[in-house]
Amino acid sequence: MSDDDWGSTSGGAPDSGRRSRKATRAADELANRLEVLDRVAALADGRIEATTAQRAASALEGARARLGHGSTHTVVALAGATGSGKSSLFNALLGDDLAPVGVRRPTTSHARAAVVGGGAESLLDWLEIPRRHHVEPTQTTDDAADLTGLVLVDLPDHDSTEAAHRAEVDRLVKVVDAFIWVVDPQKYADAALHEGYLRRFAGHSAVTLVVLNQVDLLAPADRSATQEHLGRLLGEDGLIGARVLALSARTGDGVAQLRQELAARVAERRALVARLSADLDWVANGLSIAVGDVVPDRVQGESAKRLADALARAAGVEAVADAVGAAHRRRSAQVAGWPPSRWVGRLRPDPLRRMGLDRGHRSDDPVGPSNDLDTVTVPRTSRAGPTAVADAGVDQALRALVDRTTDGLPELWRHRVSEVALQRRDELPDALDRAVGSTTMPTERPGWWSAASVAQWLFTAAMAVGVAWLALMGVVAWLGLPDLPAPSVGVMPWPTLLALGGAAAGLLLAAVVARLASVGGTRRAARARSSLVDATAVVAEQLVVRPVDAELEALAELGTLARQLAR
Amino acid sequence: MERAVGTIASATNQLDDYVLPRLRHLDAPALAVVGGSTGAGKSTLVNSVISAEVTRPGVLRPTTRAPVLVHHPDDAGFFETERVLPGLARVSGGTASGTTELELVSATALSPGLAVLDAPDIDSVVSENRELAAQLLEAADLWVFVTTAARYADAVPWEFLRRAADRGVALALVLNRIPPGASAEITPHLTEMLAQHGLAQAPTFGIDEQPLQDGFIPAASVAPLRNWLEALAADQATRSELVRRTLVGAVDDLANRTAEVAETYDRQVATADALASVVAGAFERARGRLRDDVRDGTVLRGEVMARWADLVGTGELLRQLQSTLGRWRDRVTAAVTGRPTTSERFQGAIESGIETLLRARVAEATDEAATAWRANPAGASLLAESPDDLARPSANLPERAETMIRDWQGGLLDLLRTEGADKRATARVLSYGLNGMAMVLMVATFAHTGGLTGAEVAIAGGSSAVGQKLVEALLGDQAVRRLAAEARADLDRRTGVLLDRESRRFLDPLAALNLDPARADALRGLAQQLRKEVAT
Repeated sequence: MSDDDWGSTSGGAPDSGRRSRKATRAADELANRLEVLDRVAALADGRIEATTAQRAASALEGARARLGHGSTHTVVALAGATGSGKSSLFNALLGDDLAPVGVRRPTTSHARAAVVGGGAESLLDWLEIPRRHHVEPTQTTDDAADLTGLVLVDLPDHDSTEAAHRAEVDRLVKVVDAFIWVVDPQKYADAALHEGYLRRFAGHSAVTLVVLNQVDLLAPADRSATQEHLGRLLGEDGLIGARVLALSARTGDGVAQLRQELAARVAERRALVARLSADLDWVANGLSIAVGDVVPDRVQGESAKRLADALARAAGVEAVADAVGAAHRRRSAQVAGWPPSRWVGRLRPDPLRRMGLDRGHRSDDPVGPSNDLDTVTVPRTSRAGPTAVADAGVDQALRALVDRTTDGLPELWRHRVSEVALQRRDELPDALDRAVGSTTMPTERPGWWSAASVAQWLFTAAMAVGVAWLALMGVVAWLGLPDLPAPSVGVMPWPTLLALGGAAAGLLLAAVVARLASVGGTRRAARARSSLVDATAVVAEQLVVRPVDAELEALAELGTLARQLAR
Repeated sequence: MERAVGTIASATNQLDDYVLPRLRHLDAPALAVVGGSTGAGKSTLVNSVISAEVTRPGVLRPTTRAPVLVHHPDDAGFFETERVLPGLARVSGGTASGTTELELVSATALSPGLAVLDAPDIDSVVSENRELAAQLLEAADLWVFVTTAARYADAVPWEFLRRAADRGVALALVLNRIPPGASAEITPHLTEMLAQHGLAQAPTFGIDEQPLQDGFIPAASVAPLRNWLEALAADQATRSELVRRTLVGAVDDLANRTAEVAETYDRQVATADALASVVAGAFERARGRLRDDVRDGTVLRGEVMARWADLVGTGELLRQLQSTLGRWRDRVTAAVTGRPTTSERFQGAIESGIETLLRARVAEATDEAATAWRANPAGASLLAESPDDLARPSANLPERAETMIRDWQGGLLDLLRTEGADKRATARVLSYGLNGMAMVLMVATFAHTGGLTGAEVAIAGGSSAVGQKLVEALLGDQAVRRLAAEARADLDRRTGVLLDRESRRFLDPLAALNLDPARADALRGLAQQLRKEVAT
């Protein structure tokens, strides 16, 4: 942009074809950037500090509204302090006494616009300038500068005791296409001008022209020194390369040159795009400070895993897994334990049933952890809720997750991510309970149970037969009847062998069964634990990690867009 | 707050530069400060009035940087010393270069009894000029305020004039550079504006825009102003009346500003109190919640209870309680299998339970305090200034919490030891194993009011009762209850120390501000006294 600002177009007209191509490119680029700004504005709410977001939104809105009025007209504002001669210059440029000029300060209290060549009614309506003048191009062409398409606006002052004037200036400097800051030898170094306006519009040097008016009051020797000093002050404001013209509206000295500069600008019709681009630069600068340098990353696997672990603890996964093991051992004893002592086990309740988790062996239950927490209705389990310690552990894990994912991000973003992470905190206990309730517990019967059971009954039967035989033999002996025949194996008679052997084999088998059940129980507990942990990980994923990731992605996109906008 | 700091600075300057010197030397020459906008022609005016080029005018704005004080040679003694404006170094011979110096020029054209000070501008881009000009104007017996036809309606000068009206300082207004023929329209407007600001009695001098003669405004144009100043210098009575009026105004203004500062101070104290009470409240609540957690058995539930059940179920507790041999056997087993003993796991569960609760509560309190501070501008700036991140608990909290809990457990053993001594059962206690007794005591500590659900009691209550009965048998039922209460109190005390340390991260920066509510009252008292003195 630096090669086509007002600072360097005083000389010959550039090739018109190249110029229009360049203009089109600038306009296209502006359109692209506005699109980017549109996406920024959509994402900005709550993620960008309010004043910056507001600034972006109003820049977008203003740019669109202004573009809607087309670039046929170029709105140039004459701005400056009271008494610097804005109205005089307005009249001198247009060759007519349109604006009243006075010595009573402040003179102009409302903005006044002159349209060279007519039209621009809707544009002026949008600018809310009711005082309008129609100026014929011929009226101003005494020096062959054609100003057709110029909308010249005479602003009120910005530094008088009238606060309303300042408000009007503040409103209009935001929407005009180009500025002519009018200063005079008395006031050119005023803080009100430099600190109040020029520094704010430092990025707008492409559409800024500074006019040192009333040079007729200076001795010729002082003119260039003053002009040079003014240039230095402008440099300190950051308005690098802004053009400074010295003239006198009263004597007409230098006005023709200004008119030519204006004519060249108006003919080019580029001021509008340049102004809006400078606005975007300004907004983008604020945005890129707001988004910082660090690009947010998604939640790392490690963080998610720690959260899932904390959730598993809160969900009482350990206790459930233990219960699964205990239930297996208990059932194993019931099925394949030593029959005479089975009644002991029945006195204790099934630990899974007590938790309301004994539905695992139904074949129509969904297999594995459900991935959809919301559609499957699962009855509440009858376990105690998470303990305060476990709850505190979940809070801790959530905080740690937020801290790790937002390290180095702007404070507002950290706050935002933390909010998102805690948004569904209240739903966690219930979701965890449902996740545990809908997990299928490994409660299937091992195949060997039946065989062992049969063997147990056989041994018991053998023992019973042996005992009965012995009893019968005892009764017979007691009654003095002849001994029953008792065949023997080696020295051991059969009945004794049956009774003792049956008992011994049964107890031995029971011991083996208990051992196997213990191993099986441990294995089942481990399986239950792993599917329960998976289920709680799904909860962590759905209620925390996914929303946080979505937010982080939005923040990352916002950062990318802001940087893209800043170029 | 920042405004108050500015007020204090300027009030102190006013006191040093004007009120004190003036009170000490009521007969000293009157000082007329010529102030005004940049480009208003102050320097040219001063030169013209005394008909000598004592200060260099120029076209580059702002011009006058170092202020120039012109006085009659007879009055030199009053100005060469640091009687007035002690903050500015005296220089002479046109060597003054900055805003920290005061150039003294003696001129016979000026009558004795009146000195003129050419001040820097009040409104240029050079902020030091603006500040110095404001300071110099506060030191004036008389303001000669210079403005121009182009400037007389500027906002900045009128702020100074409003201040002049507030202070009741003697004021003369010079309207310079009036374009030919414009006087008829501007002068009435200016008079009207002055009247609106309560400055109707200020004399106004108009000077037309005209070519300079040898760098001076033609004598005829400055004659009215010069004559007025001459008359003032010559008339001792009018001059002292003027000085008195300005002085009374200044002292009165000082009193007002002191009261204003006192009020701001009050607000600051109130803000600091509010910020401190938010923090204290948050951490007090955290402590209360922790106390509840301990008392209602929250810590016991879940993991700890399960470990307790293991401990009782495996018979390890009884072994711990009963014989040294049993303990050794468990220890050897643990060493061989590489697994922690059940009692170690139980203690670990208790430790991590308390630690987790503690950390979560601290995090909540920190969050609450930081959020409340962020919502308050003063709090937000304190947060921003703090070297460590106050939105999060201190980085070494986990270690300190762990140490605290271990210390508490150690204290529990000491408690048992002394209790044993009291009961003259030391030997028995020792032989039964301090460790096991300490564990039972821990459970007793946390299970005070129950708080366990029926099922949990069913699992563990009975078995814990076994241990408890044993300890009770050794120490007595009363003693166990008392010991448990003492252990709870000890934990609460240690928690308090830890939380205090966390809250001090917020409170220390506040305390460093060293705010004392009595100071505002002292200021108000001084202001009262000042007013009374002025009135008499």
